[in-house]
Amino acid sequence: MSSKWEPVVGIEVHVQLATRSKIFSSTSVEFGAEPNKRANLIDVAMPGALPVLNEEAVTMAVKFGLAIDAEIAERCVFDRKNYFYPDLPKGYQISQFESPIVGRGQLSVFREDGSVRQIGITRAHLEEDAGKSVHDRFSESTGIDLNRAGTPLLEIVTEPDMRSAAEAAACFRQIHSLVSWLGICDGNLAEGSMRCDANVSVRRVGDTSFGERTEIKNINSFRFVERALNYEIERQIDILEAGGEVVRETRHYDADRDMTLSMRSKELSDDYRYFPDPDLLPLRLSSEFLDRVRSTMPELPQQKLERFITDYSLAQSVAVRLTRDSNLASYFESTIASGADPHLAANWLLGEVAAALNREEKDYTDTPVSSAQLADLIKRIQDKTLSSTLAKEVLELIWTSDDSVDDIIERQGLRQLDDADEVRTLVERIIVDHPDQVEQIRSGATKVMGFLVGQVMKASQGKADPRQVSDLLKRMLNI
Amino acid sequence: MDDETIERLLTLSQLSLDIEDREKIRRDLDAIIGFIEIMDQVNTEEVEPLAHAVDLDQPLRKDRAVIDFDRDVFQSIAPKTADGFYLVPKVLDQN
Amino acid sequence: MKPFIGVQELRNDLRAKKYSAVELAHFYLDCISELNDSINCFITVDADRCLDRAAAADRHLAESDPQPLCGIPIAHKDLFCTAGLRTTCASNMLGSFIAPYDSTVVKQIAEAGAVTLGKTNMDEFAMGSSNETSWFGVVRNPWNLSRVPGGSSGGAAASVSSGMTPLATGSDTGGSIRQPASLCGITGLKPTYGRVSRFGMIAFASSLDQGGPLAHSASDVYELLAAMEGHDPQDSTSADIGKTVLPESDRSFVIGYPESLFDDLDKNIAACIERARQQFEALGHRIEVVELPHIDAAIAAYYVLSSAEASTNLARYDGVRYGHRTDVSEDLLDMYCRSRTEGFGLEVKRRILTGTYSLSVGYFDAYYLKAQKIRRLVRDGFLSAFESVDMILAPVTPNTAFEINSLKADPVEMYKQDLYTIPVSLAGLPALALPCGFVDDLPVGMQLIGPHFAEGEVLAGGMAFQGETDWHEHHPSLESASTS
Ligand SMILES: [Mg+2]
Ligand SMILES: [Zn+2]
Repeated sequence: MSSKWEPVVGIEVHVQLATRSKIFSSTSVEFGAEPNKRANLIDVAMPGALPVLNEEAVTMAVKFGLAIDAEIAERCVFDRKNYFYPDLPKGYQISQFESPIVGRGQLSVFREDGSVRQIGITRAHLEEDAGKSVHDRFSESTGIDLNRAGTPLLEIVTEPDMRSAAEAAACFRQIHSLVSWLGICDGNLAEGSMRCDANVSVRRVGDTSFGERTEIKNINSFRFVERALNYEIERQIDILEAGGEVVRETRHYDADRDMTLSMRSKELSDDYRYFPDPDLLPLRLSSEFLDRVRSTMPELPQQKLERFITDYSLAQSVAVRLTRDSNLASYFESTIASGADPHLAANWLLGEVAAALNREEKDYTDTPVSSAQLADLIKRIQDKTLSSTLAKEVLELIWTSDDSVDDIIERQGLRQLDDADEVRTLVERIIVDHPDQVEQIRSGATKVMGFLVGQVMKASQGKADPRQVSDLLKRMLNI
Repeated sequence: MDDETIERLLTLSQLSLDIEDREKIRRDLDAIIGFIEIMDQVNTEEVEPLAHAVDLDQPLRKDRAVIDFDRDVFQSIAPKTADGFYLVPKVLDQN
Repeated sequence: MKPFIGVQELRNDLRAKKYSAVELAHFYLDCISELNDSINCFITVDADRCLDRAAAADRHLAESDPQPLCGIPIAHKDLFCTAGLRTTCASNMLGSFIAPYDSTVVKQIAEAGAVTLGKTNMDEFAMGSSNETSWFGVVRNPWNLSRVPGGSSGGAAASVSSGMTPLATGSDTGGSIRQPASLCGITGLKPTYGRVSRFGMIAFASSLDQGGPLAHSASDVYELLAAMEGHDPQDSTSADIGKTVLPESDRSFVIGYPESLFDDLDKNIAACIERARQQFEALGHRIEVVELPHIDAAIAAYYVLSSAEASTNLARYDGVRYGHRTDVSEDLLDMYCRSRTEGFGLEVKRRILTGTYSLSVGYFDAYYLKAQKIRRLVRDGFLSAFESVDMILAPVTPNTAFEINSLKADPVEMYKQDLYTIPVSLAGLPALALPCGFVDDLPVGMQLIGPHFAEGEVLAGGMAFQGETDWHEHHPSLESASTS
């Protein structure tokens, strides 16, 4: 990217709220039902049918607002956004225009290195999702499935605070992590539970005004957000450098071709004629209601992160990784509660356990090893019963069985060699067997040390403590 | 009311009018707009708009899911359906 | 059996087995077959199921505790959804629409034991004041067949007035119960907004629409209201308050008299209401002059707001899930456009276009928001009047029933028919229309307007008046209407 140019990005994320029923009807929002089996009188907009707001959707929106320290509107209004489209059964979408439920707030976006960036949240509002049009199933027709119509959405709009594609992707990821943490969204991107629109423009470095922007619609993965934006930023820079002008338009990201394409407007008009939905009265949120929601708020990632750093003296970057996922964070805490050392617990969870889960495409909610088992394993490392190599073996065994850590150690004879004489005998033998390497070490090639340690470990079948072996070797070779 | 405005209103409303009706509607709309301009005579400075006359708050529904309808009955009154879908003339995928 | 019997008498007769519910249903169904061809108040008559339900009512009547309206016939305005019976809104758009559910009003009335005769004619989508915009043809006024019955509940009012049913449901957005009740010489109530559930009542303008009863007398209206009203969790705008309670019968009221409203009123009509005013005084009620501001601007505000709401309420009629779809179309947009153009009549199109206009970018503030501000001024005007009076006595219509086709060409003149009813609708107030005289053999009505949820008081006022007068007991001769 040419360094003369600076991208300016803001995103809008549509989050499907994890309610049981739809936002304005009592139909189940369960995914994957047969077409139109989740579309009742209200969802198909039968004449005479009326919307009634789902309390849980309101609660979830408020939770999000509290989590980003936003103003929660004491009184907010639902509006109609009018346009014709076959998957929009009423001919309008119920949304919030003038007065959203959640006002201005702040989102802390954590970078990989543990540093934090504050991104402004402009607003978040409640609205209903549309149904789906199926274009490829019938030769002459488009099929309409209204199962998704009326699914509650929270549309979160950020300020144009991001200055790179990576930052925008990190922001999307942070919103994903926060709404999952709060339990207000299942976070399942593959099923469309979160969709991201990105507004992007570029300007000359040092400019304070914004360039003309484009909007990229409906991006459904973190990786694609980054790729789509990188493409679009390059495209805009190319246009501007060639003396052209960016056209304000809606674009679509084609993942197969890795490019953004101009989208002919799906909708008939840009005059949505917003006005307050006369079927719905103003929504007033009492302080009692807000207090009730506040009392059900979990400890937020930011708070937990700070507590992890002070209580367990973890590094910022470690604490950030532990608090990215609420299930991981609580797994970590219960492992510690069962007596494990916090540093070892963090290393194991973010290292071996994460890798094993990754291989099996599982997450921390369905770890086959309980936090108590993991704590037992770590305790055996702490008391030197297990070397880290042995501990990995034990982890593999408890991954597939319910046996206790101590039973496995006993049965498989995986106890670390704690007999100093036995270790000394092995070290002596290896020194004798490798005169050349010993010579090299003595003449200063200390790197060869690792080779000798490895030989001892091998001879001990991994049961020796590598640190002890290394100390012993140094002492015996007088270096 | 000029042609362009009428055309725009018709597009937004998904309606069309033959020449005779269009002229009639144009005359009517002109008359209606002339008539509603009587509102200008009322000073509404510092008056809050009122959406509903009775001061009620929006009630909330408990988040309970129920299935209380039959898709086949719904679709028996639909102009065109197949395999549980409502059918409309083919929409060309824009992308 | 004789026509024009009130609820109390029907109930007594049915319980005393003077006739059965089946016989009663036959009586009204016969009456409909005799008169409907010339008056055209019914779009659909549900004879078979009506007789089945009457038979079921007879079984209930044999029990010790039958429901309050057990076996009493009723007609529903054709915008209340009825499961298994078509609901047309008098539109080609819904010409063969059979709703898969009952509206709350229909359901509650059936639970109260009433037996549905059929569905009554109306202005298309309730948009009109003369019942001339119906796809199913004009309804004729039983007092004079060349006159309109008023609208939009013209079929409901004419069916009661001509004796085809003792009770009818209607809906009132800007006067659609009160104006036809008045032009047909019967009694009708527009309840407080939120008193009667709108669930299943096909919407015209959601912030104004309110279902209500039409009958021969205030006491019958009260009986039907009791079955219709109540909190409905399926309607977010439904009020969670108790049932209508009638005040002590000897209570005397302070009745407001908005003198300036009578300035432009036809002198003969004004005289009828003036006489009613004296009768109230003679009954021991006190009259106090009140001012109602912004009445002229109220009509304009009403047309802006109701058309705006209608323009989007009617967007769901796109030919996809129910209702009319054009036979041939080139593509999706063409299908929408043709289906809607074929499905809606000219008055409906006019309102959709007006509403779309006032919500459009650039016009919203000058029209829609301005109208909402005037709405507040109008409502506040009433609320301050109600600080000193219990109810207000006012005209319902500027004239008696007019000739069919006489106002059709001039929408603005037609809209002015609702001058006296619209402000009440904007303010969401309850108002009872009841007959108070005749001018040139055509009935004249008046309305008693109450504060929010004061249905009990205005009904008591109406009952007191009808206890002393017999205007509500005059009935049309129907000689020229009879086809047998
Ligand atoms: Mg958006
Ligand atoms: Zn949205």
